[in-house]
Amino acid sequence: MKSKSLLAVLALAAVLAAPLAAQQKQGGDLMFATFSDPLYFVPFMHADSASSDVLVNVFAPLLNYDKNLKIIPWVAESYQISPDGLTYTFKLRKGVLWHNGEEMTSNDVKVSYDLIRDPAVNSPRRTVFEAVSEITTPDRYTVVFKLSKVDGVLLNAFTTAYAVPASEIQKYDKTKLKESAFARAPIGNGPFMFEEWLTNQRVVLKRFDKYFDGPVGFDRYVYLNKGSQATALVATEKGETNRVFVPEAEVARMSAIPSLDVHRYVGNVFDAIIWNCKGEITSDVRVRQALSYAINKQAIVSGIYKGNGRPGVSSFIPGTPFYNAKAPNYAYDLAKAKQLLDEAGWKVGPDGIRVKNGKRMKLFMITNKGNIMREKILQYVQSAFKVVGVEVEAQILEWNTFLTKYVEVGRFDAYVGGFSTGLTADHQAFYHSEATPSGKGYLNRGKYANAEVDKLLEAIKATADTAKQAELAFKVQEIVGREVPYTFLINRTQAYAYNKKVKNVISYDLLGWYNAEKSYIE
Amino acid sequence: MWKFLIRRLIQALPLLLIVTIITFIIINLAPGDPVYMFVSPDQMDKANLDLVRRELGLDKPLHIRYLVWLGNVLRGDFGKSFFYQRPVMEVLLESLPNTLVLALSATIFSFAVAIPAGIISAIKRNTPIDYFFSTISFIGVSLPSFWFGLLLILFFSLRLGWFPTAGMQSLDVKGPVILDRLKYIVLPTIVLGMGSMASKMRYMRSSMLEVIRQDYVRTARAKGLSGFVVITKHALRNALLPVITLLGLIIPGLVGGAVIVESIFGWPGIGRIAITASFNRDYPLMMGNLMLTSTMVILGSLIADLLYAVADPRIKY
Repeated sequence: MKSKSLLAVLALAAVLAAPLAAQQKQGGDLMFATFSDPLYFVPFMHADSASSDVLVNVFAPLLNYDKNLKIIPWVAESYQISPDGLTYTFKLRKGVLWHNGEEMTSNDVKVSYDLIRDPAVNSPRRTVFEAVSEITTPDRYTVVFKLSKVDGVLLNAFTTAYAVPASEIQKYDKTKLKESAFARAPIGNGPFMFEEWLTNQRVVLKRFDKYFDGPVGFDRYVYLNKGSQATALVATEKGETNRVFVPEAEVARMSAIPSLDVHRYVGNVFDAIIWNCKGEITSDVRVRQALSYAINKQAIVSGIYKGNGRPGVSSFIPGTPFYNAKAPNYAYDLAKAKQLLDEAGWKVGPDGIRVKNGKRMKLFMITNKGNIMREKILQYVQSAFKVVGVEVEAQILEWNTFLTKYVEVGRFDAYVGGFSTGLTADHQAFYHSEATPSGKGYLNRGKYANAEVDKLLEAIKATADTAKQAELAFKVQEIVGREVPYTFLINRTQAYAYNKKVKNVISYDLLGWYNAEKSYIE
Repeated sequence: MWKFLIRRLIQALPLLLIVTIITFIIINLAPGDPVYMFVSPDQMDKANLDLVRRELGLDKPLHIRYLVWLGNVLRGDFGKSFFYQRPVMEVLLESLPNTLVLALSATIFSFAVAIPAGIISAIKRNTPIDYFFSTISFIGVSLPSFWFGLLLILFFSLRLGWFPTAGMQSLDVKGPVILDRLKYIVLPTIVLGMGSMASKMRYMRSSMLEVIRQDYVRTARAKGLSGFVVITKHALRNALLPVITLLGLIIPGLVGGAVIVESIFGWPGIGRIAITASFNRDYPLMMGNLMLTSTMVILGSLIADLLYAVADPRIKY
C-alpha cells in the first residue's frame, strides 16, 4: 500500500513534469545586438537600461507579473499582506540556488534589502522602500517586512530583481558597491549565469541548469555591442546577431526582411507636450485646452511614428486598471480651439497671429536634439498652431543644455518630451506640486499645482487596495484632463526584430519579451 | 641628439599645462551638470543635489578645482570616472591598446597605398592613371567617415558577406586568432586611413614632382641608371621628407577620427570612451582622456622630427 501511494505520487509528478520537460527544446545562442555598454551589475545600484537588460536574465525576483499584469509569486512561493497593510510576509521556495551553488535563504533577502535601505549605500531604489522600518527572518525561508506606513505601490517593487547572495555582497565595502568585483561579475539566481564582460565588446551569459523554474532554452545569451544603432540593425539583418531593438523609423524596413520577425508591443512610454503652467501665456487653462484641440494626434501617430503607437490619452497607461477612458480628452477640433482662444481674449490680428493687449501670441517651444521623432513633432506642432493663429518659436537643443539651461529652470512655454512610467498607480512624479526641479522631485517641470490633486496622489500611495487606487487615479485623470498640464501625444509601441530561427518568442504589452528563458534556436 | 630630445620634452610640459587649463575651462563652461548622474530621479531635491555636488568637490570655484585636479595628477592620481565609477586610468588603459592597434593599422594602410600611388602619379603626370589617383584622393579627403563606413558595411559585409559588420573578435574564434582579428580590422582600417591616405598621396606626388626635376636626378639618369633605380634610390629618399613630417600630424586625426570609426564599427577603443564621457559630463574621464591624447600628439610630432634626421643626413640635432 505504502509503495503504491509512493508510485502514485511519482506518476503524478511525472505527469506534471512531462509536458514541460518534453516541450522545452534547448540549444543555440541568443545574440542580442546592442550599442551601449552596461555600467555595473549590482542589481540595486544600476540605473541604466543596458545594465538592466542583462540583470533581468541573471537575477530572478521575488514576485513577477503574469501576462495580465497581475502580480504573482516567483522566487517567493507565496506572499501575504496583513489586513492593516503594515506587514508583508514572503515564503521563499526551497531549493532556489545561486549560481555559486549555495541555496537562497531569507538572510540573503534581508541583507540585500537592508543594503537598499541604507543611506550609506546610496541606492537609487532607496526611496521606494522608505516605508519599510524593519526586515526580519523568522526562519530560513521566511522574510517579514515591517512598514511604518501603508505604501500602495511597494508590492510592485518586488518584481524587479533585487536580492543578491549575502555571502558574496558582504565581502565588499558597502559604500563602494559600484566598484566591487561583484559589479563586474555578478552571481545571481536567474536563468542565465554570468560568464564574461569585455568592455564595449560583449557580455556573455551561460545557461544555468539548476534554474528553479525548469530547463532553460538557450545555451548562451550574448549581448554584442555593435557600437551604433545602425550597425546593430545591419548585423541582425545579416544574421550575425539574432535580436535587435528596432526604432520606429526602421520598423517598416526591418519587417520586410524575410529572415526576421518583428515583434511589436505597447510600451510604457509616451511622448507629450509639457506646458509651463506658470508661463505668461500658457498659465491660462483655456490656452492649454485650445492648443490641445489644435493637435491632430492621429497624424502624429501615422505620419511621424508610422503607426507605431496609439494616440496619447493619459500618463496612466491604457491596459492597466488605473487608466480612465472617460477622462477629458482632446480630439482634433479646430473650431473649439479657435473658440477657446477667442474666449481667452486672444483675437486674431492683421497678420493672422492672435493678439491680446497688444502682445502677439508667440510661444517658445523646445525639444532635445538627437531624437528625430521629437524634432518632427515640434515641427508639426509649429505648423498646427499656426493654423489657429499661434506663432511658435521652436528650438532644438543639445540634451544637457536642454535640461539644465531651459527645462529645469522653466525657460520655456512648452516642450516636447518623452517619458516612461511604471505600471503602478503612483504618478506623483508627474503631477504633485512638490515634484518640481526646485522642490522634491523633478518630473513636474511645468510646475503644475493643484491641492486636490496632491491629496488624491498621496491617498493613492497610502492604500494597498488596487480598486481604491484606481478610483482615486480616475479622479486625478479627470482633473488633470481638464487642466492640461500635459498634452499626451502618443503611447509608443516598442519593436524588437528576431531572426526566425529564434523560436517560441512571446511578447506581451507593457512587459516585452516574457519568456526569454524558454525560447531557443532551432 | 639627446640634448635635443630632452629640450623638446621639457618644452612639451608647459604646452601640456596650457592645454589642460584651456580644456578644463571649456569642459566646465559647457552646460550640463554631472550631479544628475548620482542622484536617482525620485531623490532629486536640492539638498540631495547639493550634497552630491559637495562630495564630488564641484561646489568649489573653478580655479581651486583645477589646482586640486592638477595636484592629484602630479601624484599620479587621475581620479575616478563619474560615469563608470572606476579609476580613470583603468578605464582608459583598458581601451587604449585597441585604439593604438587600429591607428597603427590605418597608418600602415595609408602609407602603403599613398607612397606608391603618389610616385606613380608624379612620374605619369597628367596621364589617365594620374587623374585616377587624384580623383581617389579627392574623394578620400571629402568622404564623411560615418557615411563611408556604413557604405562599406552594407556592401562588403551585408551584400558580399566578406567581413563581419562590427566588433573586434568573434565570440568563438575558429582557426588562428590573427586571422579572426584581421577579418574585423580591415573595414575600420580603410575608413580611418582613407583621409590621411588621400592627403599623403597628394603630398607624395608634389614632392616627387619637385625632386625629379633636380640636377642630381638628371645626373643619375645621365649615368645610365635605370628609371626604377633613379626613382627608388635617389629621388624617393628626398621626396619622402615632407611626407614623414605628416606622420606626426596625422596622429591627432587618427585619434579624432577614431571616435566616429569606433562607433560605426563597434571597435572597443578610447574614442567610444571619449564620447560616453562627454555626453555624461564625466569631467575626470574627459580630462584623463585629453591628457592621454595630447601626450600622444606631442610625442607624435617629436617622432616626426627625429625621423627627419633619419631620412635626411643633412639634418642634425
